[in-house]
Amino acid sequence: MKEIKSFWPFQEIFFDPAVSVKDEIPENLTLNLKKSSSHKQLAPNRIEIITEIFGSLTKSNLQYANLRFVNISIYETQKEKITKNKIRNLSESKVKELIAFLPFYLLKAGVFIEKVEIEEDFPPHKS
Amino acid sequence: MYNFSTMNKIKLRVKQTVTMQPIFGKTAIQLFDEFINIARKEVMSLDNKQLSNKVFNKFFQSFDFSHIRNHLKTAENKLQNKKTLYDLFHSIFRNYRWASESGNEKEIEIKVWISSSIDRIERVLKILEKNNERN
Repeated sequence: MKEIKSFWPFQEIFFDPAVSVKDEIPENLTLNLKKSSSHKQLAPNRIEIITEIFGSLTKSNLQYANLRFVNISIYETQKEKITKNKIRNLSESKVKELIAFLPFYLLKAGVFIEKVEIEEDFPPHKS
Repeated sequence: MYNFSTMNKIKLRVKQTVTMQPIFGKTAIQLFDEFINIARKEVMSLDNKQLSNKVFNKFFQSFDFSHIRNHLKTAENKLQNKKTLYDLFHSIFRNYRWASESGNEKEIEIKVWISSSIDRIERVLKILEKNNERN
């Protein structure tokens, strides 16, 4: 399976205006991410995987920002079987890619990331 | 290039939690049909011996969804409407997850979710129609 194309047609970060104008965005925020993946067969040897990532920046129970990103990636396939697990793994790699470029986005929002800790928990999947 | 000393330093803890319904690749009609299917399944599973559920069931079955579908079909041809509709269905499916996870209150939360979601869709369509006329 080969990735032919990958792009992010939806990129959005929204900080709470009330807190932003008072310059009161706190430190030590937690980034919570949710993702959803879907796929479409574009041609016999072409598959498109859409990964939607929704997230929020929170501290205790308060939300300070929302973010939404969507990635579309197109793969060339041979005769291999495309399993649900394979699609989920490919989507996971897009989430990791987002975490890699998110710091640059957040820099523009005046927020500097000191450290990233990734907690992965695997709740039961309802496909 | 960047003055880090004046920036808010944050430590990002990334918690990956539950997955959500895919929305981006679907049309508004497809999303609406998905919503109706979920709602129908939930309505079927209500205890029909209770009068409130009987009434809800009856009303839901007799509701005419075709006018909503027609309006969605026209609305989603404009780019600015697509974003609004995306936001709308995103929050509708998110609210479904919250309603499903509400423990003892689940039955009433689901009924509220179904009726308020239909109200919201109609309201949003009305606003979009007004905006489109003005443009």
